Amino acid sequence: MFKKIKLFFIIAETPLHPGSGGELGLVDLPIQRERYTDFPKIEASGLKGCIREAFESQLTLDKQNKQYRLLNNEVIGCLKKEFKNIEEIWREKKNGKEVENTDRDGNKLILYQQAINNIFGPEDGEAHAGALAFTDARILLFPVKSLKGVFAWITCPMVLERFKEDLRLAREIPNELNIDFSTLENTLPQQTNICIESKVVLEEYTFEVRESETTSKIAEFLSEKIFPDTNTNAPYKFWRKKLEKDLVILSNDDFTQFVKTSTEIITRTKIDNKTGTVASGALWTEEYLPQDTILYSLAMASPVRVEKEEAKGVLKGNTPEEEAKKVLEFFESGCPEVLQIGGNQTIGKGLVRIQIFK
Amino acid sequence: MRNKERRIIEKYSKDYLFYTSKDTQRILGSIISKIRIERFDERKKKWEKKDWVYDASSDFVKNPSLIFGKFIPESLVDGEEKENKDKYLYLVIKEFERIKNDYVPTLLKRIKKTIKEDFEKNGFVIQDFSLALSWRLVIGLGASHPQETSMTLHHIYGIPYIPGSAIKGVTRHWAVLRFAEELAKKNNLGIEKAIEEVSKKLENGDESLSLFLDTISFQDLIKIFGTQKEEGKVIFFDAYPDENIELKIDIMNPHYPDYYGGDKPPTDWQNPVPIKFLTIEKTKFQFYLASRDKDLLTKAENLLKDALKNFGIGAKTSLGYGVFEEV
Repeated sequence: MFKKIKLFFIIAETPLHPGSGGELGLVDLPIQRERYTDFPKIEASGLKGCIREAFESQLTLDKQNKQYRLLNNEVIGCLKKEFKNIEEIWREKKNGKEVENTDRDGNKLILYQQAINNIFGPEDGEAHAGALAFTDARILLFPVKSLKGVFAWITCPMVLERFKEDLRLAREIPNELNIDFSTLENTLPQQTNICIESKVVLEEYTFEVRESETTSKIAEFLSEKIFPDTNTNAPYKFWRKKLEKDLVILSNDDFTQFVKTSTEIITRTKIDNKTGTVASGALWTEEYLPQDTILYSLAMASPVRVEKEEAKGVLKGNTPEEEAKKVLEFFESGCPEVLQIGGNQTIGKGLVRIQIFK
Repeated sequence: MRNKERRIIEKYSKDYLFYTSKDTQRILGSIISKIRIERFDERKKKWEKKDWVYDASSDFVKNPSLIFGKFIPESLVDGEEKENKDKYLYLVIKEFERIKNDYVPTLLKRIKKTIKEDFEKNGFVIQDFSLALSWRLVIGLGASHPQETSMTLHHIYGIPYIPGSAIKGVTRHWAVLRFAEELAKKNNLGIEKAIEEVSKKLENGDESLSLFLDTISFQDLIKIFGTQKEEGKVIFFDAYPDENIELKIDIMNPHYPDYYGGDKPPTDWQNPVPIKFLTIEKTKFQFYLASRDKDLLTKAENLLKDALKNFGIGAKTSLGYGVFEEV
């Protein structure tokens, strides 16, 4: 059973392609969607893989000493405050003798790697389940071009309702969201910047809207949580202010239409090196979640699931609760602010910012 | 008094029309007007129509991508249709001035922080540099667009940019051409044949070629660009224009339209039909590359810079479009 749950936001900093493989549609390479709602999502397995990769990429191999080290930066600095010995060599008892753990090439592994194995599950050796699980990342806010004010973030009652329920699972029950969202269709915050005579033009469609105090409160709440006002997030002041004003709650149906038809479709070609023109037959389309799409997922921690107590390493706690808490702490302080998710990394796609709900 | 001029707003829906749903049409009609410019003719003693323009009376920031790609009015007055396009492009350029000072600088700051400060913490080395266009650039000219000629604009912000895929593609193409030159010299081959061999081996990750270009080996190329089996080791990010973006209207003028249409010979009695399109002129662009391997990163950077300076990127590179120079 999961003892501790944390919600975190995933903010697309560049277009995001959580691919679903090929499909017999108009787009050659579409994105993953929820079967029953058609909302875009990121599969939990893909998300977990990317987060694990981000953790593993903190390691460098010190070739001289044949030992791994942690890249010295802020991320690891945070971890070291909580888990002091993570850079020590990982020793294990084998046949009654204590031996240093090494990889296939004989390089010494450190306690940090043991913690990764315990948290995400081992890649080889003795099999056990990981102590950290993720849910599929769900859509929260979707950016749509607006005639006035460049773009608006849209959402709908159903999405907000699910978000509230997921927050409840994480035992965070915000008063700001204790509302019946269904009455908020076609509303936006007060003093918004995107309204033209009580209408908004999103893409080529016009919606009659009204300003609502409740929607203002929701927008303020979301903006504070997604783009918190801290020094490290300085360039986000602009987007924080924008989200406070330019959020539109549409009906469930209108929202569904936008997330289905207003994703970014990129046509790509391959150049024939000989002719310098498009190679014959090499023209394809890819679907992306646009920059500034905001999704969220839950990180759910259980106690470390290894048989021997000493194999728990830095995550060892006195009670199961304490252990689960440590697992979440490791994730929270060790996870880089920005990581890469989904396809086409080498052309700069899929950079996302992770913002843990506080 | 000479050049007496007056501007009259033409009544919406009589003289021009947006092809969108009724309520969107009405809003567009209220914020974008068609203005007739009349001059007083001293000899005839009357006002005569001289020109007309589109103008947006409202002062708020609009989405350039919607204005450029989706909300295009058609003039309903006889004889004005052909002029419609560049009149509208002028409005797009004018509207672009608004976003230039508002969204673009903050967006650039955010991209810089994301890549250079935050993504760098994942063990990547980042290399950034800026180059300026020596003349003009057009990207995505052939994409589908209601007015025939398009331009790649950011999906949400509507500002022009160079996609990472284009940057990677042109670097790779340039590398193939340079290495093929080397191979042709070394093995006394025809250039066509050399290109074929180099591009095939690069595609399949075949490391058997022992070729060098300065310090870059053919094996480095395979690592930089990757193959079906292994991902490339260098990330090519989208490049964004520095704050001061200059948009200009350009013209291509095919002289034998029927001939290019494919069914008639090129004859002298065919009329050239000027096609207008948007270009970016003399603008500085910010490029970012990333890799975990510093050595490969430097090599990729050199290749990319050479490609941008000597080959160019985007459409019409053979006419000098899309060529960059050091700032």
